[in-house]
Amino acid sequence: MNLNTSRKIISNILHLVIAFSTVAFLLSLVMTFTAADQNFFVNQFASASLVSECNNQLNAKYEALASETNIPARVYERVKTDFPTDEALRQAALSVFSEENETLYSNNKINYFYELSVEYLEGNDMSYNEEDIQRSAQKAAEIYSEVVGLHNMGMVAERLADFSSEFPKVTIFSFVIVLVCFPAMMIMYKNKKDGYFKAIGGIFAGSIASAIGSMLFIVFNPGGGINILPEIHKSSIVKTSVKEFLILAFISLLLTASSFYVMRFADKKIRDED
Amino acid sequence: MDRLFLKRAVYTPLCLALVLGIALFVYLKINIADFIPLYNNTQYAYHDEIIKDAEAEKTADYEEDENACVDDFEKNQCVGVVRAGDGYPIRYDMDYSRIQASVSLVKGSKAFGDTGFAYIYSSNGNAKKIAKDKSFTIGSVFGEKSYTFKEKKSFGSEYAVLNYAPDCESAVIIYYRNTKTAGFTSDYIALVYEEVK
Repeated sequence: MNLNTSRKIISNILHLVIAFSTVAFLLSLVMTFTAADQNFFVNQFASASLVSECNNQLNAKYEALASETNIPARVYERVKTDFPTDEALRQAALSVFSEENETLYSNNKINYFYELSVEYLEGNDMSYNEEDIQRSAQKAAEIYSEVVGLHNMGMVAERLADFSSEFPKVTIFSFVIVLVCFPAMMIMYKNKKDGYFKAIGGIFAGSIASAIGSMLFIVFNPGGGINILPEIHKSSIVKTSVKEFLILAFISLLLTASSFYVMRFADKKIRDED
Repeated sequence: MDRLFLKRAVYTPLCLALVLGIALFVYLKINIADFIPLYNNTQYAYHDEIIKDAEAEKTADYEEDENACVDDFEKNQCVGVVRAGDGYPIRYDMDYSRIQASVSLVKGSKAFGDTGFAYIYSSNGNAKKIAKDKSFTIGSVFGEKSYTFKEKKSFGSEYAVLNYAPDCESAVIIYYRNTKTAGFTSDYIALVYEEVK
């Protein structure tokens, strides 16, 4: 193998490594500021469609409860006014990161429904047994928790903590690899223009690849592979992931345009050497 | 644009980008669960299947099936109808929000007509209407079966109801949470209907 062939092989490997690292860099960068971000996580639980679905669920379940307890549904449904569903959903999501209870089931909530029921019964001169009302208030609080609260979130806070430590590491690591490979590529070529084309071409290839990959994902696979219940939470997560990959596609296209411009600039400004 | 420039700087990275882009898509398709903050295959809230047409909910739509098996039913599937009171569709493991128009065949129940007991949860209003008839028939995927009233019992919990085995070969146990004026009392009332062979 002569020197020329070895140089070609090594420069192609470096080109591939730069392209691959660019993909890793872009993907992990976007994930650091989206999937690993606490605010991004909380905001996905405040989508208008999720709030509307939760309100419909509360209406349907409180209608059913009303038919069993002889207390009108509107009494239970006042919870939507006193504790707006969008705020309650955000509170549940925020509670995942604190010691608070993300299920939103508590003695306070039972007492709240108890007070509402008693207020209605006394206002209408109806006799009642305190323990019976306590039981129906407990059921009302359970319904609220089932619908608006978050369940089985045990390890989600740890997962987000892992995300926010791992993704930035990948971002920095892939950036360093590109930084190291770039001068290495320049050393490989006597003709600096070829060196620039090969090195920046790697970034160009990586950024187009990220744009292609993310756009293919948005078009052909939204929701595929995600299996979360209830369906409305799944669609909320799917919408969020589509948003993430749209951001990735946009940043990738920006980098593609920039790297193309730099290569064009190098083509015009740097003279070929033999 | 300069052809030589495109040949030297753009074509090769473009080909590589196509391959890497498709590889990235395949990678994301397979590993998307690693990029979402929630764990896959998990239930994070308990929502019901919302019924848009309340009138349609009252009609029982089922077909007799010789090979029907309780364990194969899907949640909320209409498996029959109680021909008593106003007539109530029987839905398997029914969502709570449907309780006004239907009754729920509880998981773990035996098939109607089989040796053992079918447990049906109902709202107290519907159960009281059913209780006015001392006998009724249940038309279901298991065929048409007749039942006659055997006894009424009170239990301290749902668990106690579901563990109650009346002294008969085959029966339907319709139970509900009791109420007096408002709210729930501490007891569950079970109405036992024995099958008439």
